[in-house]
Amino acid sequence: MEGEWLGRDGHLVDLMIDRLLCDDLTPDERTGVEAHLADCSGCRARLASARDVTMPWGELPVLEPLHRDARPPLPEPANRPWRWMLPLVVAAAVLFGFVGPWSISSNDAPGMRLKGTGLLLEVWRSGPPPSLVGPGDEVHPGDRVGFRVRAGADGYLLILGVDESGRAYPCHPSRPAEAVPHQASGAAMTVKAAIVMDALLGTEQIVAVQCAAPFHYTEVSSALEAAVESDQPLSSLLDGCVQDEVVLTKVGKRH
Amino acid sequence: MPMMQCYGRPGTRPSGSVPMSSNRPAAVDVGAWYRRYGPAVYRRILRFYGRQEAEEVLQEVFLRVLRVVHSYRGDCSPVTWLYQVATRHCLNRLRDARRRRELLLEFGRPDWSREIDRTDPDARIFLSQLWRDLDEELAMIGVYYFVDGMSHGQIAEVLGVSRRTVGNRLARLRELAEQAAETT
Repeated sequence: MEGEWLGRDGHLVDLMIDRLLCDDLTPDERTGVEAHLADCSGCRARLASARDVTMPWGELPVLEPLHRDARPPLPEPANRPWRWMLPLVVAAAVLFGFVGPWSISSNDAPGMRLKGTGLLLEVWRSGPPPSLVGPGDEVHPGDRVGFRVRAGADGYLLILGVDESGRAYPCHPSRPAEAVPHQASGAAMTVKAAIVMDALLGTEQIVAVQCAAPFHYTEVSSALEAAVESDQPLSSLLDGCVQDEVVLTKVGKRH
Repeated sequence: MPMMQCYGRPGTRPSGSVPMSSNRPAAVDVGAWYRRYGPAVYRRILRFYGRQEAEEVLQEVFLRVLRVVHSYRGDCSPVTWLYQVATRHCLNRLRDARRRRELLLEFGRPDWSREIDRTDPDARIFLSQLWRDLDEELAMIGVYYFVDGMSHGQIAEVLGVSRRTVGNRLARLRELAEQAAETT
C-alpha cells in the first residue's frame, strides 16, 4: 500500500501532517512522508503553518483542567425516558436516609464541615449514588467530583486544587480566570463545575476562596503553591477573604 | 505500508474483534495525551470552528476522550484515534446546533489544511446540505473523503472497515447527492 499517506490529490492529508508533528508516525510512514515533503513545497508550507498553531493557552498548565466538565455533575437530561421515576427515587432516598448533593434539601450530611464562619465547601463524588467526600477520604483516578458551597455573604468565589506535585489547578471557574460572583445562601449550593481525578496519586487539596472584591486565580494559586511548597497551613491565602478546604487522598483504582 | 487501524467508533468495539483485554494498551494518561496531542486535536477542531469556539470544543473533545478512552485498544495511533473522536464530536455538535450553514465554510480553510475540491458537484451538495441528515458513519466518510481528501484505503484503515465497504458507502453518498440535487 505504498503511498497510502498521500490523499487523493497526491498531497499529504491533514492527519499525516498532524501525526508527523506529534511524532506519531511509524518509521516507514515517516520515511514516506519526509520523502514527499522533500519534493513538495506546498506540503512543506502546510507543515510549517500547522507547526505555528499553538494551543489556545499555550502549554497546558495543569492536568485537571482538561478533565473538567462545565455541566453540573449529576442532574440528568430532562428527556431521559425514566424521568417519570425521579419522584419515586427521591422518595426512596429520603426513606432510606440518603440525601444527595443535588436534592432539594440542604440538610447537613455526615462529614460536612464548616470552617470559620464564612464559607463551607463540600466535595461530592458522582454516583451512583453520589457521596460526600470528607477530609482524608480516598478518591481514585477517574473519579468525578463536584462541589457545593455555602457562603455567609455575597462575594466572589473561586475553587482550586493542588495535587501531590504541588501544582495548583483551577476548578471553578474551569480556567485560570477571575473569581465568579457568588451569592450568600442559607444552604449549600451546587457549583456548576466538576473535575475528574487524574492519575497522579497522593494528597489532593481542594480549596474554596471567597472575597468581597474581585480577584484572579493567579493571586490565590501562587499563594497556595507557596504554602504547600513550604508545608505551611493553607489558612488565609488572601487577606480579608474567607476560605475552606477539603484534603483528599488519591489512591489507585478502586477494587 | 498500511496506516494502523482504528476500529469502529470510539467507545465501541467491532463485532468479531479481539477482546479488549487481550491487546489493550496500558492505561492511557489522558493528561499526557492532551499535552502531546492536544495541538493536533486543536488543529482538527479548527477545521470546523473558529478559534474562539475551538477552545471550548477542545475541552469538550477531551472530556469525551475521558469517557471513551477505555475503548482505545492501541490498534491505531493515538492521533488517528483522537482525530476520529474530534471529527465525530465536531460533526455532531454542528448538527446539534441546527445551524443551516454550509459545513466548514463559515471560517474558511486553515492554512495547513488541504483545499476542498469544489468542482465536484457531489462534494458541494454534501457540504451544503447532505451532511446534516446523514447517519454518523456516512457523514464521517463524507468528511474524510470530500473534506480531507482521503483515499478509499485511508478511510478504510482509519475506520477499520474494508475498502469495499467504503466504496459502497461513497457510492451511496453520491446517489444521495444526486437525489438531493434533483430536488433542489
